[in-house]
Amino acid sequence: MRSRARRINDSGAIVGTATLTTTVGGTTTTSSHGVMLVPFKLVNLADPYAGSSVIGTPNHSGQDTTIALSSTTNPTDINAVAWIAASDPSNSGAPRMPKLQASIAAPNGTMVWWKLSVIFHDRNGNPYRDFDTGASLTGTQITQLTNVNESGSTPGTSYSDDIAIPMPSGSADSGVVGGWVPVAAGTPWNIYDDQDWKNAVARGFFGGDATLSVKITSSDGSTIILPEQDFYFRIAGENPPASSADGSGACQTYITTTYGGPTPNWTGLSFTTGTTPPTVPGYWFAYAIAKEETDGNGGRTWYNQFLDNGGAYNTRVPGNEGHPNWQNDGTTANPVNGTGGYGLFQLTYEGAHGTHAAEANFIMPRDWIWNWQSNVQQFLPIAQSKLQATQTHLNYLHGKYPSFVDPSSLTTTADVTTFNYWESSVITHYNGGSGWHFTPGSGGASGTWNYTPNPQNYLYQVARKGVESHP
Amino acid sequence: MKTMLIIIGLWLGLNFFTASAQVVKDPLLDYYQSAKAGESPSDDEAHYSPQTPIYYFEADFTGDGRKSFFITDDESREGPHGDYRWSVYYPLASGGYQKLAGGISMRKNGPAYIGYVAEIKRYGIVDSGKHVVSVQYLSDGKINVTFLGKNQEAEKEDYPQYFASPAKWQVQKTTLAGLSQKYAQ
Repeated sequence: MRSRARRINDSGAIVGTATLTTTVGGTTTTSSHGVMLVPFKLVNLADPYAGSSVIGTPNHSGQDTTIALSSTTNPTDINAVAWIAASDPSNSGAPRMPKLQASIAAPNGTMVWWKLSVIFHDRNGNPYRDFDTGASLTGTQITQLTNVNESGSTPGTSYSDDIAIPMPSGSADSGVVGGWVPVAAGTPWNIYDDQDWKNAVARGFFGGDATLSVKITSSDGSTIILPEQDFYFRIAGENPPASSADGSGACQTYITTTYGGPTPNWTGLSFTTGTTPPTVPGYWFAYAIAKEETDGNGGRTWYNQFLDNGGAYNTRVPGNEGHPNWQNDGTTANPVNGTGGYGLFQLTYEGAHGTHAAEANFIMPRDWIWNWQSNVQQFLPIAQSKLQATQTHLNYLHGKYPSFVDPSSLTTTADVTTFNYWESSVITHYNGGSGWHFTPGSGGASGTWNYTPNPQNYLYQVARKGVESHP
Repeated sequence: MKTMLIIIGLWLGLNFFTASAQVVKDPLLDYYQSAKAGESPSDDEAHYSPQTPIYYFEADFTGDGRKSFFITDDESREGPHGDYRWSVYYPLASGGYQKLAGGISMRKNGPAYIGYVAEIKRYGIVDSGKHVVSVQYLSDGKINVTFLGKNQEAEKEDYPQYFASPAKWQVQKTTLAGLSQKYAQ
């Protein structure tokens, strides 16, 4: 086949001819056809993506970034990623969903029809987050997750991993016809300004494998000029910088300062005679937990909400860069008691057991997975629950043993960092049970306390990797 | 006078023995009685019901050729990572078992390995976590823990002798009602 461009028409389309020569049984046939190459573009406007030294992508510097759309599914081209930027300078350093605009040089007087689908597949390519072997959600829970949708079914609208713009039903967009958004030729589809998109983002950031579909018809829609074409790209997440010159959007700064300490709600806890209210100056160690929890994941040293290189550690997995950082602590023989961990604080679900109530979200809202600041904000209620559990335990021991001794003034040193009783209890509890154990006294003697590291050596790891910054 | 001192010393010694070294003849029975009293291995307040699952197994933890008893239940979970607080009953030379104060933290199906650990030249419990290989062992009636590798960091692949073979014990499962039935007879 030979083709020749003739001219660029008023819509910007390249108009030309194609000559097709076929030979069958010694007979050669030549035919000519008019063709139109229609420029088609998806742009992330004013892209604040700062680049990644791990995978070598450049800083987009607030420029419009053209997404390299693929004609096949599961593109591995890093340029086929529309990034959830870690920090938007125009919005106080908050993360930003890609500001997408699609356009096509359709002939004047025609109608362009658009739709977009974004589905979060796990690392095995299965839809709906990560339910690898070892995560022990029940079948009912998994069914509940896979059935949620943006229309608002149980357990809530912010959980869906399957986003369609426009929504298949109940769309907030005006003029939607048969699941498509019609836009007159010459006008781009500002996806970022689509009401369904805005509603979905407001419910929670999202990402995953995206399909952008387009077709062109006559102005009244009666004649198909270009049948449906599907193009593929990904929406993935950029990790926050550990620190930055001005502190804008920096992870550690956000956790320790912007987040407000974080300061424990001491007044919300009850204390009984025999125990002294804690004197911890806030959860100052929160940043150290985030460092330890995501140490080395995705090939980056610390603060990994996402897998920079797409792999668990140093091996790059093309087509998976920027995937949410999900780690499953369990094994087939010893599964975890919930979802496995997501993001900076490796948020998990813990079911009810003993005196502990089930955590509120057995399946966490998607915003905790795709918005690193949202993930950070979940640390405070979890830490509070660990502090309360510590206090409840003390009250129990105080009521049970006459030889009870107030442990408030005790300390323990992990590597070279010293933690007081409350700090070490909350940190160790974050990884399971408390490390402090009380041995009742006998014959009128006072009981004794001792701290034993848990088998994960968690307090030491938080001290060494987090507080002391040993890589 | 010498005879009186010996008698006083013997009296004090017996009292000490009674207070801190109560010999347990049947670990499962002792566990059952503790659970009936609402006491879990974690020392936390527990809410047992007849249906509460109980798990137990035996393994040589001390190296004297006799097996220790390890027992836990679903009231003794420690967070979302799959750890449980286990009661440990280790054998005494004089017969019977001693219950270990504070118990021990292990996964629901037990650790990767229980037996002789060359690195510490004694018997212990070996398991792994994120960049961690831990050894819990008994010393002077208390549980100690140490971590293999430089800066207390290691991967389980570095110690295939502890992680390559299947466990030599089988975790048994019953319920509080099951124990009640067993000891009612």
